[in-house]
Amino acid sequence: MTEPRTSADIGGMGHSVKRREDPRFIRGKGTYVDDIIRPGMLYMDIVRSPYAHAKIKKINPEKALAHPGVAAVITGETLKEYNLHWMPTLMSDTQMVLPTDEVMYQAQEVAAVIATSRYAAADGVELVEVDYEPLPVLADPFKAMEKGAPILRHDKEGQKDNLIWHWEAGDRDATAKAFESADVTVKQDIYIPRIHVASIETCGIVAEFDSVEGQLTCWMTSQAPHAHRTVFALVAGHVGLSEEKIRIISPDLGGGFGGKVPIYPGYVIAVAATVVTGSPIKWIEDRRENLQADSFGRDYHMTAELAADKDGTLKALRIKTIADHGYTDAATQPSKWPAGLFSICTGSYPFENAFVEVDGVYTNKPPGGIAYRCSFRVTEAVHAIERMVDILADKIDMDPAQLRMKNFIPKDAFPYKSVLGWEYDSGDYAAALQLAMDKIGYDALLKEQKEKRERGELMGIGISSFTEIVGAGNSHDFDILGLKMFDSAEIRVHPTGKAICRIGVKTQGQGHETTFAQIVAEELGIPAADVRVEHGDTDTAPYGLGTYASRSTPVAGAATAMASRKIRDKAKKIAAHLLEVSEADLEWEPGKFFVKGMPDKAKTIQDIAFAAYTNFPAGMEPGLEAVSYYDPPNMTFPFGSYICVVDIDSGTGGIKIRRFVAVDDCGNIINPMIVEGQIHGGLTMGMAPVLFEEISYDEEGNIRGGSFMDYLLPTAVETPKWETAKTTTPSPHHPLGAKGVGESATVGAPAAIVNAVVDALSHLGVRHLEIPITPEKVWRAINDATAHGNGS
Amino acid sequence: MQVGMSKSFRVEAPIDRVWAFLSDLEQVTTCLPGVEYNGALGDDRHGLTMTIKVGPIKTSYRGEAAIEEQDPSEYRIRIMGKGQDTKGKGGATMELSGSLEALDDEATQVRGDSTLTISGLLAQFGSRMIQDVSDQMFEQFTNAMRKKLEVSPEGSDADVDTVPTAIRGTALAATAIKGSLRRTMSAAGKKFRRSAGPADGESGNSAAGSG
Repeated sequence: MTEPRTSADIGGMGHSVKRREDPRFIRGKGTYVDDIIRPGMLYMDIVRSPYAHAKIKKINPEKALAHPGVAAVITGETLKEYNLHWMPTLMSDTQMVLPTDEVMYQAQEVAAVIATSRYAAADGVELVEVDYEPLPVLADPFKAMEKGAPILRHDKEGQKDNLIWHWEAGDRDATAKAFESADVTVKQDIYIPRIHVASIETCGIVAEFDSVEGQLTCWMTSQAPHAHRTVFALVAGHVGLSEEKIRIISPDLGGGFGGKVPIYPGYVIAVAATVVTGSPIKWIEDRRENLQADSFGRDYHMTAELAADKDGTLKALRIKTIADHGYTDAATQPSKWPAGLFSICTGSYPFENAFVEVDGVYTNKPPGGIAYRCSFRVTEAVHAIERMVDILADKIDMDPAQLRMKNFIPKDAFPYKSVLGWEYDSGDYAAALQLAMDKIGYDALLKEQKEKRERGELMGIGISSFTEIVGAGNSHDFDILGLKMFDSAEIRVHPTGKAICRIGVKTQGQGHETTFAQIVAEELGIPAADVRVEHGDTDTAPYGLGTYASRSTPVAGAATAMASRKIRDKAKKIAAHLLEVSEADLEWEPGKFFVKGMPDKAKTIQDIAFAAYTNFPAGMEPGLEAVSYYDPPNMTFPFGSYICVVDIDSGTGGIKIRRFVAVDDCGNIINPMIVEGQIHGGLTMGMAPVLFEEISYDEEGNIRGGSFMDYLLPTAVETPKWETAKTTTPSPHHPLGAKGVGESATVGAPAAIVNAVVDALSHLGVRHLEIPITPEKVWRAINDATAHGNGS
Repeated sequence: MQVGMSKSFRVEAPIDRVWAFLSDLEQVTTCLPGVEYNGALGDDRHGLTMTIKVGPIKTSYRGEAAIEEQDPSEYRIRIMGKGQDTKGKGGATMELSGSLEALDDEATQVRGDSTLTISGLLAQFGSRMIQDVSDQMFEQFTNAMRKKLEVSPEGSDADVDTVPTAIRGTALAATAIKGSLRRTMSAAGKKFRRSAGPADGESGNSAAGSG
């Protein structure tokens, strides 16, 4: 789709309609969880463990309880009375809500203080006395895997070591054979450290229990309110909280990126506290709690190998990974594979053989593993393959662009079945890379680099040609605790021709209130401005699995199109009745039905809407509304090619991204401005872990990177000017031809930047650098190379 | 995190007087900045409270120290200390090995190796400065110890109050920052002279946190 089918007044697909939600955000009129104030509300603050592993010998709340304003101190023993001290994770593992005898990671919740003000609650936290006995800490997953290592999850029956699961895909033997017979092989350890989404709004909840009605209402930072309601009902059903009595409202969210998918202990404690005290309870994390205890991303230790012919034809891929999940497997990914969609690691290339295996490991670190704007381990997969292609190019002395062009899955091979089992829906990888090369002036850059090297200046060019996999997902492969990953839309057209569209997904900044109105506008011709989009309230929105992993447009977007089409079908019947012709005589253009060959004999969608309530055909149900629950037949596979140019200061190791061209293909686009915004944000979040962000741990499990003093978020100063462009290859199975896009840039950008930095140093003998690539690492690499006689 | 330190210094006092001092934990604590002696607990164990302030974080560790090994014939001693933050914000352990060598009748060479392991808030937020803080503490300790040992025994009491009763955060942090700056400047200088590697910290120190 190149030209929009609708006029700018209607604002269907392809129009850069201004975001409906922005006026309230710009004017400070948004409503976030912390803006919710209820009569008689109490405040909660949490005592957290200073130790990564310790026995709790005693918790003494006396001094805290004596503090003015402190109403209660809740411990694991309190929750145990209600059998609420443990809960399931979304990966069917188990997790403490509050401990009764042992803490397993630094910053773990130990007790909660309820008080009449936030200040009194914080004072109370200081006064709770906890007597710990430190235990040996396993912060390193490799040490946790050693024979004889202490078993961390001794609470789990039958757990004999610290392995959570072993997962593999592909043919081990065939891949081994391909490696044995290959002309060239390359191998590289690649570590992607723990990072944190650090969304501008931390997590929080206002929980209010009406003891007369037995009704629980939660205003909660939730990317998946319906799924959370069901989990609450499953966890707390035995204390009388059944699903029809739970209402979860997810108001405006200040970013999510996956960090607001898990159910954190704080939410559950607040719910328990409102039931116990009978007062509404507010709990809002502070920044340190958010960074230290909430779900993280990555922490993948990969060893990747590539086999190829000497002419560069890719033959086989093998990756072995140790995945550090922390104390419990609380990854937030709904696929039936424990390593998520990691098997997309064959990327944009037609490998005949591939084998991947992942060991999930318990350590004394906070749990999590997915959250960072990424569809379930796709970033790790893309990073591995796009780094390895460059390492191979270096080994066989071939231009990395040429090596990619030579190997891409050709555009006429789609739908393409990958050796690890995915059916890629559509793609034209060569076109995207060619456009990126043209835009950045690739040949001129190569020439410039050659000249600069002769002068001793350091400049690098890096490419990443990624294939994404988003839009979870079909019910066969995807569920959360059994809930299939469909999504939903419910559209009601009012008598005056305006409409409300309620959706099962939940915006956190993606602009759903605008784009979903545009889908209705596209399908029904009702101006987007006349369509109100409502979401996030389980009492009013249709059941859905929420927004993450770029699934809103692929799944709920499709549901919105399908519901619109049901309405259009009914509208056609009403139009035929009004125009006194048969349905077969009618033709549609966005906004009206007209009699074939007689464009003046027409009824607009507004006319039809009014008739649906005032003048409907005999025997027809009045009204004009429809619901769709959409179970997608396949994932969508957006792709792109990014090229990054860096200049490196050989004196300081400082890295400057001079240019970055991003060519994205996400199929048909609903709102080009919003897509571009998503890509800008995604590129910045893709750059961040490459150059700045990391949450590391010392041997005692102390968090290094637990505040913004140490966890370095890029600001506008560090962010280069992103240059974006697109190609358009529609998805053949999506009703709108659209694909997800929110995460493409986060997934694709890191390898381009690393490849550029390594390329700048490759003539010195540098083959790889682990992220985050700090100036110190670059400086050491330059100086080590110089010391070994590789310097110019 | 772990902070390791090795120091060697000369005390103008006979070896037996130095040994008598080092093997008496109550005496030693009077020279340790920020340390309060809480009495003997039996079995050579002694109760202590130690207060450290790094930047905005003030931590009081309450715990105990014990002489784990001592060999008077070789003048060797190993002391272990451990404590928990009184507000439940972390803990620390310290292992200190000391040995003495008589330089002459009136002078002794003292060699000390220590490993400090910290968990909790101080480790999270103080990690950049903790090495410098440790250096400061050690310097204050040796100065206090010298003062105590290098005067006549009857005059020693008067000098005890020159030891700070708590490590003063701002002054210490400022000195520590100066220490960091000095190293940075020195590293930059060396780089300017095209050194083959970055400058090390002051000799003998090693911050041994993993990664």
